Amino acid sequence: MARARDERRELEKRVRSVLLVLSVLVCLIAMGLWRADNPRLVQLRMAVADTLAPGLGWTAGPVEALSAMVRDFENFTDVYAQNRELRREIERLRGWRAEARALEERNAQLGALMNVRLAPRLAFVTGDVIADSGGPFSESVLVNVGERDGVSEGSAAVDGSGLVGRVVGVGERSSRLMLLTDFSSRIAVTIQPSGRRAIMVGDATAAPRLDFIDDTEDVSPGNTVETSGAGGVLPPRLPIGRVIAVGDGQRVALNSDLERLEFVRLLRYRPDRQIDSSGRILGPRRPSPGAELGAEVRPGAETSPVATPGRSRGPSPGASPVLDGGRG
Amino acid sequence: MRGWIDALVPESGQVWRALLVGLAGLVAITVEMAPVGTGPVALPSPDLLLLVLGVAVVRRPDCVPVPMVLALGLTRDMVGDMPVGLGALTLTAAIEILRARAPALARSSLVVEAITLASVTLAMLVAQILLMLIMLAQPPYIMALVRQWVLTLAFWPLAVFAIRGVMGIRTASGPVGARER
Repeated sequence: MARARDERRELEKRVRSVLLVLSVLVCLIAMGLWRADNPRLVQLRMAVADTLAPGLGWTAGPVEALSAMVRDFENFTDVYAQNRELRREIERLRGWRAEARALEERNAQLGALMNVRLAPRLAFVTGDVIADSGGPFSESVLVNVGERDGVSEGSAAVDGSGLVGRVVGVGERSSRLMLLTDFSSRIAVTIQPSGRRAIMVGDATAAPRLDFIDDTEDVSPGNTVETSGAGGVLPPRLPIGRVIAVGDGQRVALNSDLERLEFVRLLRYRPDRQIDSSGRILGPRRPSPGAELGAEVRPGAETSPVATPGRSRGPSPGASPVLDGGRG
Repeated sequence: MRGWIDALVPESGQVWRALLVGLAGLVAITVEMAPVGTGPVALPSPDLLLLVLGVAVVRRPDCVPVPMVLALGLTRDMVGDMPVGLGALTLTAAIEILRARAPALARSSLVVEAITLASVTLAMLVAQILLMLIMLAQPPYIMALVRQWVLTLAFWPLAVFAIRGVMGIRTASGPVGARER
């Protein structure tokens, strides 16, 4: 009896060590695939999230209710301060309201003069935030709308007051948003009123950094920051926040409240397809004025379809997908 | 050889307990992911999955099989936006360290168990940062990881209560406990 038990224990130990080695291998391979941004792995991730999405919804309810209770209690304790703050805010907004009305009227007049027809290109779908990343490794949330609701990779996500992030993974019925504060978030922005371009870089703090501003002289705290639309991933002119000066550089105080995300709106945006070069790939190239003066044109090089595909999108202003994309 | 087959077929109580632990692990993952405080300033969620598996493996090492730990770790990595495999690797390593110490911990007090858990999770944290650096990926801020570590330790008594009190997974007395020695 004792010998059988010993034997069994020995065998269990051996099986376990084999399993252990196998799991370490699996983890290392997974890490490699993750680092290489393997598309299959991204698909698998979203498939797993899809499967777990209903369960996440169930637990999110009670846990959210509990945290709402705690938050209500906190609000209760500083209700006087909040009240005062709100009164001040109302005063300020009254002034803005008058200004907004005047502007609206003026806009309508100008629109009528110009005979403008606005094309409704933006459609949206609203989703409920069902999970967050939880850990300190990334800033992202899962939303309960996915491919079947028309969400696509790169869709912009906004809450009531501004941009929140963009879609980086789409499952059948859920999608993952990378928030603006994630380490990998890079958004091409315009700073108004100067119209300067910059890149907003997330670094896991509440206010993302502004990088590559073409002229810092024109940019001062309080200026508004909005998406520039460069790269064609995000629609232009979505509000993001205001410029603030922190220590060495400029950062953006976000309009949206990332702490209490409950619902987000995912925009379905299709930028106009622009043709920014002549159809060199399809037909024989017309001799340009420079070529006529220069050496003879070889007939073989002219019709080669492979010669210029990389350059065909060249001169379009800021059409680099890297500006808006790039994760990892 | 009958010993072979016997060794690979677990007892039924063991299977049920393992299922219970696995279910608790899944619940831990979903609670961790609940969207409470989503931004960078909010408190991170504690590592509940590690707590559940760690408390269980100290009490019943035979009810926390390696493949289950791996599957739960990978699931968490995929659903949460962790580097896939990193969380699972450190989780598996931590559980194995605790498993090796389980016979000794079963005979000592809860304070010793808490200290062991604290040092194992701290080692996990260091390993995660090192692995991220080796992969040339951006590691999270150390302060953020430390905040999560403190929160995890704060939730440990709750995990002990849930596993031992509610689910009834205690240190086995008699032949099963003696077997591990």
